[in-house]
Amino acid sequence: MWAWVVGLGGPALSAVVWLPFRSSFGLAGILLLTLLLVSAASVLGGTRPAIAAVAVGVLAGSLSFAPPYGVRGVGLEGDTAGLVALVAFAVVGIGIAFLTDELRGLAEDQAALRTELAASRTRVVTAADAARRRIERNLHDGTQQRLVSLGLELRSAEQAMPAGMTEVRAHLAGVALGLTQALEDLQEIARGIHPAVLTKGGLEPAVKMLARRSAIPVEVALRADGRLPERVEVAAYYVVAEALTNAAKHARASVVHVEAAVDAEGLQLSIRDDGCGGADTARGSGLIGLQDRVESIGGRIEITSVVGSGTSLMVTIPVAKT
Amino acid sequence: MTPSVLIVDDNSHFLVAARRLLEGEGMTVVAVASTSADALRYADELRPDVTLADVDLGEESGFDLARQLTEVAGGEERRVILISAYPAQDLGDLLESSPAVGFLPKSQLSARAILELLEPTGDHTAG
Repeated sequence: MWAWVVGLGGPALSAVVWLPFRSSFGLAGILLLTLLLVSAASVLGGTRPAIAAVAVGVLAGSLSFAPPYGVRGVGLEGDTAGLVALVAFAVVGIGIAFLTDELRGLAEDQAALRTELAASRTRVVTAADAARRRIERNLHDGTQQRLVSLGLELRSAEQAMPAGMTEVRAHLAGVALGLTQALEDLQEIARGIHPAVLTKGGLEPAVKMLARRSAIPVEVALRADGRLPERVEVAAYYVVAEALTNAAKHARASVVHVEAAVDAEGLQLSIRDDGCGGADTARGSGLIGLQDRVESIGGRIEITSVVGSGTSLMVTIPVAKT
Repeated sequence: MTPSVLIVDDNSHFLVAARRLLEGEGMTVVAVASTSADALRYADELRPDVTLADVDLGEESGFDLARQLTEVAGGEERRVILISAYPAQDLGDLLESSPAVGFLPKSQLSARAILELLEPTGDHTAG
């Protein structure tokens, strides 16, 4: 856009400035022709064609002044003014051509930067997800498994106690119970880090798990057969989790509908509640984080929350490998 | 009669602890295995009444093993109980679609729990 403004506006301005000094209609015509040539050349072709256009214009101008081809009835004073105008115009034209080129380069750099930024954003989110999945996996395969085994050992020890040692038995049973509770806490933490059900079964069982755990009834209708790319499943999962939390916490809803389907555009996810609406998306809510997450993988979220008509989230996430 | 048990898990600590516990409770653990291939072989050779299979077997899946065990059984009934350090809710529908007779969180493992899954209405005293 700026290339056009500079390419056309700059020369036009200089022509307006120099037009009063024109010594003849011929010179004005050449000036305008050169202006058009430079503009078109600098916008379409870049610096070099623009310089060529200026050179052609200057040459044509000079020829038109040189006797015997010069325009008749042109005085020396007019010639000088005309030549000055041509030279100045050539300088301005070349300058504009360079500037246009520079701006074009800047615009290209900016576009490349934007693309790189988007790609890096996706990589950051993907890497963070992978790290969380790894931590959950390690917690499960390492610590949790070990605690489970220790719990079984403890129960074996309890059984092996000779009859009559009721106090020690009771103590061991208490420790085993405490261990089981600690294990459950750990499972809750691990689930928060990364839901294992998502890795194992995909979006559908994961969303159903969220629905079962929700404080308010959730109607689930998923038409997304098979597995989706992990980043899509993870983003969709967190959107549903956050939406259900919000519906229970703020919306005072009585039911939430979660629907999903895959079409040509990607995964279409809709979460609607019948609560009080009026959710403020600007206030540091989890919705902003969700927006970041979804946008980082090329998707978009539309949130509609009118007071009295519930809140709905419409999410589109491209499924194709980017 | 106490059912004989085959335990399949890729975690050696668990195999040791589970075997000790179940045997202490009067069950017969005919073998333990850490891969699907071993499990299938032991199931053929030793014909346990029930196989306890972890849903995570490293690269392999206990769900697949449960399918394989029940599919090749022919006329004879082969029963599988899936086990996991995960609670049932973390496994979702995967459990429902499995041919296994039931699921036990590993921390809830006991002879009594196994018997309850095998004979929901029967006598639940092992040994």
